[in-house]
Amino acid sequence: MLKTEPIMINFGPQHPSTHGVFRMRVTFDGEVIVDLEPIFGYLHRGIEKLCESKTYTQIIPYTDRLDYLASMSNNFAYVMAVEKLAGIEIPERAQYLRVIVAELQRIASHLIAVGGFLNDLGAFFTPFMYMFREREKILDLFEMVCGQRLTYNYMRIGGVSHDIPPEFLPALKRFVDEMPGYIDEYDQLLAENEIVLARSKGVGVLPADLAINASASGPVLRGSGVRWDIRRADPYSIYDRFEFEIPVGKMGDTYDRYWVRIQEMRQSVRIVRQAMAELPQGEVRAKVPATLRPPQGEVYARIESPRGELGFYLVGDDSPHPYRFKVRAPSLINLTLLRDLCIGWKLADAIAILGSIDIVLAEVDR
Amino acid sequence: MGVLEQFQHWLLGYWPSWAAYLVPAIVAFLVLSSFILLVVMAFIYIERRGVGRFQVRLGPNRAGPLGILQPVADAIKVLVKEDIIPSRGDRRIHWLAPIIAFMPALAIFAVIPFGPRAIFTDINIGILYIIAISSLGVIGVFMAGWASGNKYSLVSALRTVAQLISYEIPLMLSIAGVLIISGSLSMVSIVEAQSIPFILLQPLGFLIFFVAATAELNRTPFDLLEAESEIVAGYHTEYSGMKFSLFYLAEYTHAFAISAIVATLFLSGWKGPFLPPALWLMIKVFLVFIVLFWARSTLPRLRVDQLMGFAWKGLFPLALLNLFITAAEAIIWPGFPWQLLILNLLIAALLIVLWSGLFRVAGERVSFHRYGRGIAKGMALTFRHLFRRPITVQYPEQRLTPAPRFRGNLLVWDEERCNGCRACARACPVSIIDIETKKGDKGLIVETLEIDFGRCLFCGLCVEACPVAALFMSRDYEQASYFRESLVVKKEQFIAAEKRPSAYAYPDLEAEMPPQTLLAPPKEKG
Repeated sequence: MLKTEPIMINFGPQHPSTHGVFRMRVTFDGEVIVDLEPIFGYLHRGIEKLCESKTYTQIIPYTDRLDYLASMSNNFAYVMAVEKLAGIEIPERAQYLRVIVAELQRIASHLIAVGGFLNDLGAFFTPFMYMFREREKILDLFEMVCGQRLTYNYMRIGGVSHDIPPEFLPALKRFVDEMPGYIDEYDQLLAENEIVLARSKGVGVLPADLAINASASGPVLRGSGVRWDIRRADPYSIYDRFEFEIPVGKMGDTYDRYWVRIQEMRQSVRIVRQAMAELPQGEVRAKVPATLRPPQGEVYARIESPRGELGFYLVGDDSPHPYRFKVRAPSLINLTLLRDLCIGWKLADAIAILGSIDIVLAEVDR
Repeated sequence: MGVLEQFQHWLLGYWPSWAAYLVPAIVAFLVLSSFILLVVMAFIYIERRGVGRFQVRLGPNRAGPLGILQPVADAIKVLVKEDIIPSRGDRRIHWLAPIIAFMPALAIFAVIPFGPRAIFTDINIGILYIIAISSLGVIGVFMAGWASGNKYSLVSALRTVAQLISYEIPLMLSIAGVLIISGSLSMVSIVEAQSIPFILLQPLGFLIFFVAATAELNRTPFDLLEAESEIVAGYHTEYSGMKFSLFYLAEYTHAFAISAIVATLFLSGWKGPFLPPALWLMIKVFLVFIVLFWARSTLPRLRVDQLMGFAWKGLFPLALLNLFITAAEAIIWPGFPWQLLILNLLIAALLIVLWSGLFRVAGERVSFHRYGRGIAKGMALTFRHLFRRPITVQYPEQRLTPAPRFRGNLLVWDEERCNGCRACARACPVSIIDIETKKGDKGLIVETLEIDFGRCLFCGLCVEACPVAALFMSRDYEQASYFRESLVVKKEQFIAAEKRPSAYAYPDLEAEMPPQTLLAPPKEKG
């Protein structure tokens, strides 16, 4: 009888498929994973502590730099927390604009997630490039609105920084008309592709009870068949006014996580279309004192970011700075499932599973 | 008789026999290798441009007209790089591996007929020679993986061997069908036997050979040993400089060789009307190569166990069946009339349907309406993208206009309006604005103004905070410096700078600004 010995391979912190500076210490038996230890913290910048010395407005650009693929969502969750703490009412038009940009951001972020996942499966950048093309259009729209393409700093306490320029709505209209066609193209390229199916179906199955126990959220949770979307479960802003469905997977495998993201893009287009149609006129920013001093108290506000439940916990103490600033980062919590998902699968699957969880290291480490 | 033998015979009349054998061999090697180098360059160029177009990019177009010198530029870049040998690697094997990987690919060309008489040596076991030689390259790859002393490379080396064993058998069996029809192992006789291209008489054999050959070439979807996203280039992770370029060359030479073999065995080789035979062969070679990189730019990669399962459970039995059917046909219709073509196409389709029905993709039985169709659909989609306008631009010459509100890299400061209130400095989240003022006749005069753009977030909060409209974001988007200190911009520089204020926080300015360049909707060309 031949005796085999396990081999330990270190993936990362520099590796093309770890989506940032993330490290996995994986023990293999041949190509089969017997143990996996995720190691993170390489991108820790101490943002939570840093923000305790900034004023409430100054923190907004820092939230851009948490989940840099979904800065708008981060802005959104943070300003919601502050508004809840200070008791500020937001004008209707600002609410609608926030929803429009947040849903566009969800599409942009899912495009990267799906494109990156396909790259992890070994596609030679083609799906990735196609998806980048559509993301580019969204970035064009964001640039039009707020002047930046990645770190938007668009939302303000009490509204948004600027009203949309006149050319925005026609461009947005064109985008939402085009987008479903592009999603069909992705389906044509990927959804029936036998290799994609073979690589992702049944791989890295996350059972619903484990997902709930691990506090997973977002497409990772919904891929396992749990119909939990904060836009519905705990409606914030004006999400109770829109019609949309929550796509859920059946198996909880990597394919379902991919599929849920594709379907969510379709739903986001639907929401943007409704918000565009109902967009009221009026102010985009409530009157807020220049130096905001929220009262004493603590508050937790959460939104459904593209990666899951993104929450900001703030403690106010009558001063211009928050006493405590804490981020509930969905990437980090979803990432803790990695070991359970990977054990027993092969080397190539570990990469695919990591890609299907869709992490952003800047958010994991903060 | 091949060209080489004729040359040797001629020389034997004048020179001693050792020289008469050695000199033609050296001449042949030089001629062949320079020709191959030329074709490989064309391959690299076509692939890089072609993949670019599949991905709606422009592709490399800088070096020379239409980027035609890109392979030369690539080669020079690789050659001048430092040659690194890992300290824990095996020096000698590390050095030897690229040579062993390259030589077999080159040696295949000895028996490829470029025309009825244009063949170096028409040995009567040509195809057997190819099979024997072409799998030798794998030893070089295995050695490289072992000698690198890198775990990724080791995994890659093990995968190579597993892949070779799985694919070599269906590859050989699929050739056997061709051999039965042509009745010869010699490459020239095989071409001459093709009154109808064998792709029509042996459709199933062709498919199996093509798939198995893709696997032997380590091309997507079977590029397990390079697997950029998993094992980071695998066996050549630790190679650089000349040795890396030899691996690169070996890969493309092998691709050329395999394309030539496919063209010879199944696409009737040099045969074709009007054009000279060698040109016909090259046209067919390039067509085969285009299909190879078309697949590469469409498909993801299979997993190790799936690949071996596919080879052993899919290709191997099909290749065996194909062999039996061809043998039976050889007994029933010994002349292989053209009517057989219809029968064989039907048999091939039927067998693929039946066989794929037995397969399970991820636990689900695949039926024909899905098997192969998904891949075909994807290939069709990437093909359509070939005719779309590329979305990338030629950057320094072709510039995009940023949005009127663009938050660019330098601030525009208006000295006249600034009253030195320091609101911007207070608003800045990273405290990079440094203003010192002194009392003047009408109010405060700014004495020093320093902003460290090396740390700027471009958040725009300073501009929003300014009560007197003296600070603007700029619409420039290029910033580069070798020194960190030069990113600290001082008052004098602000005054001297060319002012291109952005409309950020000043919507009134927007009206006269040029419109933002938006990504145009993709038009089908023409």
